[in-house]
Amino acid sequence: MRAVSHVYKRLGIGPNPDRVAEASSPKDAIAAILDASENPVRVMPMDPPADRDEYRDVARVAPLVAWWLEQMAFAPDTLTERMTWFWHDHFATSIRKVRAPYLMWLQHCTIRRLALGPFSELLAAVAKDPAMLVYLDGAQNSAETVNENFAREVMELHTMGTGEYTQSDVTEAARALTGWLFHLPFNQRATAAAGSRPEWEAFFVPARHVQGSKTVLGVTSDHDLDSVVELLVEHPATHRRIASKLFEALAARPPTTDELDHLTSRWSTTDPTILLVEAIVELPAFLDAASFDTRIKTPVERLIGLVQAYGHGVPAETSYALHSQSYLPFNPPNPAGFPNGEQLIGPHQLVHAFDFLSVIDPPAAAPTADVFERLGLYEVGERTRTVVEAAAPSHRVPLAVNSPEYALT
Amino acid sequence: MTDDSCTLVTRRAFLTGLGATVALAACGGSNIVVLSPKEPGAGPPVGSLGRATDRTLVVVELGGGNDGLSMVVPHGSDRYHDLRRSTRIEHPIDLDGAIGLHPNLPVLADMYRTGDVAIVEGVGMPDPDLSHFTSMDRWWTGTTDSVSRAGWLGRYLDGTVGFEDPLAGIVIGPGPTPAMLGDGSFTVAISDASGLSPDVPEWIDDVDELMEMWKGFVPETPTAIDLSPVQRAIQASVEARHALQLALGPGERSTRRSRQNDLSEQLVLAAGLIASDIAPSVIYVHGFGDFDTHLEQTRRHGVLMAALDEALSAFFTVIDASGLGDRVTVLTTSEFGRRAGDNGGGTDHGTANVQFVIGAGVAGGRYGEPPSLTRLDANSNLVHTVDFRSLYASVLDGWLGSDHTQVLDGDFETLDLFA
Repeated sequence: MRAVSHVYKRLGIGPNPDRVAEASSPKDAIAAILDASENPVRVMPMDPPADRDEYRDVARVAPLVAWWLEQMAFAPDTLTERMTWFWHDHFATSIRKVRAPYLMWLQHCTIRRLALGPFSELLAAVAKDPAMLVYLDGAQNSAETVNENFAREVMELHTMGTGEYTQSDVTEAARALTGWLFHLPFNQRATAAAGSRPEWEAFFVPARHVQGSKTVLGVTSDHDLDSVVELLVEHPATHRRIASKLFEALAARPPTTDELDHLTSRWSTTDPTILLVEAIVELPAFLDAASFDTRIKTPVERLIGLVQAYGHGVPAETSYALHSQSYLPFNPPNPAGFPNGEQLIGPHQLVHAFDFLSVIDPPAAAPTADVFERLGLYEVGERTRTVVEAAAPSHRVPLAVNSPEYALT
Repeated sequence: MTDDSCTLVTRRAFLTGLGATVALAACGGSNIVVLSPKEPGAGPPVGSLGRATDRTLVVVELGGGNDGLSMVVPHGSDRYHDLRRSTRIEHPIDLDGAIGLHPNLPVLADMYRTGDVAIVEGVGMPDPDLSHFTSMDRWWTGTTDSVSRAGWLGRYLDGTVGFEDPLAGIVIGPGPTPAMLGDGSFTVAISDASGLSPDVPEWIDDVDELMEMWKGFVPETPTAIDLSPVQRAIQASVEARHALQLALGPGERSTRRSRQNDLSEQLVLAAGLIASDIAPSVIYVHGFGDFDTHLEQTRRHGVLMAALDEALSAFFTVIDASGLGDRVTVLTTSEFGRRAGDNGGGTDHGTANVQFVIGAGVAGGRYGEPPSLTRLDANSNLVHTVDFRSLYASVLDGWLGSDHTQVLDGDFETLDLFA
């Protein structure tokens, strides 16, 4: 049971106690999860905003957050949920700067659709995604005023990582990336420039583009956005970094050199990412019992685990609690994504982890063993067991979800 | 078992404090090397930075982009009157014939005259991009480098107290601030006098009892070194909550939605903490007001100035009554100033700005160089004369007794702001 629970915790979000009960073995659980990955993936329909006020109405993000959290907790396709979150963190984009829920939603749909698809397609789509064009200033990047923001972050955060490029690569790539806008219906200039192109889609404006040769990563050519994306997708450092980052997300430690060599021989950045997931879960490391419960839970995982165990839905209080933990979906604190690891276990975060209890009704009195099982806690220390057992019935679940064991996944 | 699984058993044991014997067995009893919680390149190690233990820095963040030209008014300049046709301050409190304070800042003007206020003019950053988000990120991290994600004060806490003292840095506001987020130190954030308390549903009737039970997860050991990070954080949480209850007295149970971020209340709370046994090294106050005055600036900014003056007055009344005047310095920050010329009722995003450094320890007067009102940049913005990191460096070195080169992303010129 513990191994099955582990599979759900790592390939989904939260321990999914109801589904754990259905699987006979960890291999069985992995197969069920891989089979459940849906095509096409589900998205909540959202009407485009009718006017500028609605476009800028940040409150419209709330139902999107609620829908997303509900999917994380209960959607049958848990792997898509895990990977959608992984890419949201990887291509972090925040409503705080974008200030347009509809753009965030369009980006979310793109990420969800390509979450298990080829990294090359995902990166190309994100580079022309309106929310990203706003968030990292791509739409401000023109021949007249070159803006390096996206050029730098795409190299540092989205692809190769630091140490693989120079400032000159950033400057030259920024020039190559110039000229992209998106068709915003309420903006006269954008509408005029867009002509007959579809609303809400990005388009290229030759007059805003720096023409002529640029040298990026040693390759001199009349580069544009597509050719820079291609260079980054094909770069060995990108290949290894993405494989390594996903391995670490699923196996809770960096891969060894052998493991990474194996993964990069099985998967390339133009293959669907589900092949990489398959390669990772087939490695002995993934089901090594020693790796169970060795990663610090994110606030989202804490919350979803509680909802799966005792919740009936995702009430509005959820957003308040996640926001105070700097973990609200669509609102990562900076382009590097959400905090993780030991940054998540300070007094503020732990005390306010009790706030999550607002999302459930008071649980019925139950034996502590049942409480631990609902919460995916299969190896509980003597001290924790004693404390929870000694508590008043209404305090058992509150204590269990704030135990040292529940802090890990 | 492979070396990796050995490390992982150890890591779980390390994180939770559970199964140490299991870990030993799994690793064949060999020496266990506990993985460092810190990433390479993380904050300065504990104890590596100096700290003036009897002093407190209070940072007051004026979020949204405070209009410095309306706060410290260059009323001696004709150009100012031309630029600000709809938003000019008609009757500033004159300080020296060239500049004057907003008329709603009478207490601050008095403090300036008694030499307790440093006015630092022309504070800004290279390559400003006029975005709230980017500019705040730079002010919070104390860098213009996108790689560094820890806050400037988080790094200061990393290098001074580390995990040893969770109340050395306290945030007062709607939640933690990235400015205080460190790699090797705790953040305690409170929103009001109710202190550090969870916002639990009604069906949990006795929060104190719940917290007491929670502490049961932590074994009683002589030193925190024997505890895992999770246990250490639980212990720090319970202790910090208790210390705050002692310092603040019994507070009402508040809910997140009832909180007002009233600056006077926040600063009186800060003063109470400074006067208590907690005596924090840094208090960061945020969440007050919306300084993003694109519209209706004169009225809205005037209200904010009055609130600022009233709050500082209330703060220093408590501090002075406690005889702690020479131990406290207040620093204002804001992500940017506003456009030199107004837009007919408000002002758009700008660059260089003015900040206050306030307290009896301050050598009052004007610092930096007022930015030119005639030579503007390509976006019609003021050109900065003092790097914002110079302001931080001056406070880190001159007030907190630290070394700014270990906290910020370089070596910056300092101003002699302190007496």
